Amino acid sequence: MLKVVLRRLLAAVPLVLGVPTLTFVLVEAAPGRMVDVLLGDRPVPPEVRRHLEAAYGLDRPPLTRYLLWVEHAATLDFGWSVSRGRPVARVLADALPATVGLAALALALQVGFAVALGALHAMRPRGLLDRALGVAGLAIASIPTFWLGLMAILLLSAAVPVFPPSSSHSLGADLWPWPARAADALWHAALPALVLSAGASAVLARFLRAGLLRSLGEDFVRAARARGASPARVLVRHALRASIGPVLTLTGLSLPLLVSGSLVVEVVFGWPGMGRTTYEAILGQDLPVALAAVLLSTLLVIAGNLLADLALAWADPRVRADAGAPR
Amino acid sequence: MTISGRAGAIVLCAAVAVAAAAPWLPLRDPSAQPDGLVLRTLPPLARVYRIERPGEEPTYANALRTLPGGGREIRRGDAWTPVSLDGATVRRPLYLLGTDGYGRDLLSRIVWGARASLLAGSLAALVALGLGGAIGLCAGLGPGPVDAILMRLTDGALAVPRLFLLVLVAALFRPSLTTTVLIIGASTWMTAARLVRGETISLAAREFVLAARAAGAGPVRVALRHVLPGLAPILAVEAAVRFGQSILLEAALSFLGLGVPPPAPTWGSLIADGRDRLLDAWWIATWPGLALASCVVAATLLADAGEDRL
Repeated sequence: MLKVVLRRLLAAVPLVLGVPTLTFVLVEAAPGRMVDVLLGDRPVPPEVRRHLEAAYGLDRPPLTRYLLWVEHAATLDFGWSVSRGRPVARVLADALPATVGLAALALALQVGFAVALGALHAMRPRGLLDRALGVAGLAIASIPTFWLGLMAILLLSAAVPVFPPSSSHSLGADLWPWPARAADALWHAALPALVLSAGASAVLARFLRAGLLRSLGEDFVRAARARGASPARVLVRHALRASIGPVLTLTGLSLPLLVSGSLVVEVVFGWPGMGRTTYEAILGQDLPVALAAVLLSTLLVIAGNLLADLALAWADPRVRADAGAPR
Repeated sequence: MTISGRAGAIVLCAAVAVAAAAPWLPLRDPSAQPDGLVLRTLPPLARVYRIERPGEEPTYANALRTLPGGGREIRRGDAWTPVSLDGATVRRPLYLLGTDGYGRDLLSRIVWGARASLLAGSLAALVALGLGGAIGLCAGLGPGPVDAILMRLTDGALAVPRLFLLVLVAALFRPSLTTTVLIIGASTWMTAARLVRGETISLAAREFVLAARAAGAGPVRVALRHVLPGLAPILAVEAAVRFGQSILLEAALSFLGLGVPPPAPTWGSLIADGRDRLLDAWWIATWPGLALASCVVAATLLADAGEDRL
């Protein structure tokens, strides 16, 4: 188990170093300078401009600035947000819980839906339900997330007002007792999480269907049937357990999509998370925030992938055995 | 080919044909705003009155009524005004999909938007295929260390939350069709690289490649003349997949205001327009999204059918 963790952590090192480097190079290569953004169109005497450049360290050569940035980022100091006038770390720390919460809920929904749909698929392969679910899944997976979000708002909070259309809490909710606050947060998160998980659930269900059909033909399933286990028990206890592996791996692989998707979903639903913060920072040319957010979202994905690997090792003894053996 | 694959091909061909023929189709000007007061946010299938007099700009009206005394009145927005219809022709143009908040015809905006969306999608798919194909070929035919480095690069690129970087790059460099195409292509080449590498390795072990090598063909000649033709089928399937995903990504960028710049409409920017009027004019965001989703579904069906034939 420890070996799995160590190997994954080692593999993540180049990525953690590479992504901020790439981002930094892109920022340097882009036309336009940060001072011009700060100053806007106002005519400014050159000494003010120089003063501002010195204050932000922009008068130093790019390599020095890059090394300084790395040095500070290692201690979680990402500089000062240009547009919000607060430390970048504070801005992102405020937004991170909302994104992690939303992504966790979406992930749970995604795996839950995938398992339920996959089981429905496998109940009667090539039956009417199997085919209908296949077509519906294909359509859902092809719909752009932001449009799905708009349609969800239209149908589930305008036409039939079940869920709130935006924001993460009701007005005045911070004064409520915590159970009411938690319920309120869940109620607000339901629609964005549903939209965020829809596409991936459809893809996962398709893979799970294939896995289930394969395991249903195997000996241990036949043995379970011969012992008199009910069809539902065979499906859930025996076949599902054996085919959950690919689902967990794919869930790990779908994390970049989930984090990317959260950017659009947060913008659509006015969710106060990292995606919206990043988007606003980028539109406002607030580069310190943008740089840190890209790095942080990559870290989130790496952490999530690691969790998926651990879950896989926990669910499937064969993986644990593999990790011990030399490859 | 399966029925669903055929349906996908037909839908895609129809979309491309309509987009290409847009200038010659009997459509209204996609950016014309002849009368914002009367034409704004008309629901689908709405008809208005268009009163034309020779040598004059036409007058638009939401309603036309005859007063008990025989006079005529038109309603523009909320206000009724008397009108004389002598020498005028009254037409009742139909707005099939309705209009947006500025009174622009949605049908023609969607058709013209298809041009930008489909063009950006197919060019970005080409960039991704070219890049991924080259990297996959090099990895598959190159020596061990090259293969290892390129595949590490691919795995790393797959683990990056793409949209965060895309949005950053799109905001840093002035958005245009070229930058949009390049950044989408440069961030989606990874699956193509993996597929091409796998196929290249299996092709490189086949007799005809060995024969070419034995006959003295250099690595470049082997790659281009002997391996590349064998890659055509999986490249074709991957092209369909990439096309669908690229128009999705372009739409996401346009939706965030970072794609192909206005005034050219794209499906993503049309959906963004509709977002502000979602609750009082549902049709503005709905139709372009449906167009987008059906093209992506069609591309997926086509790719599935192709994959089954491989």
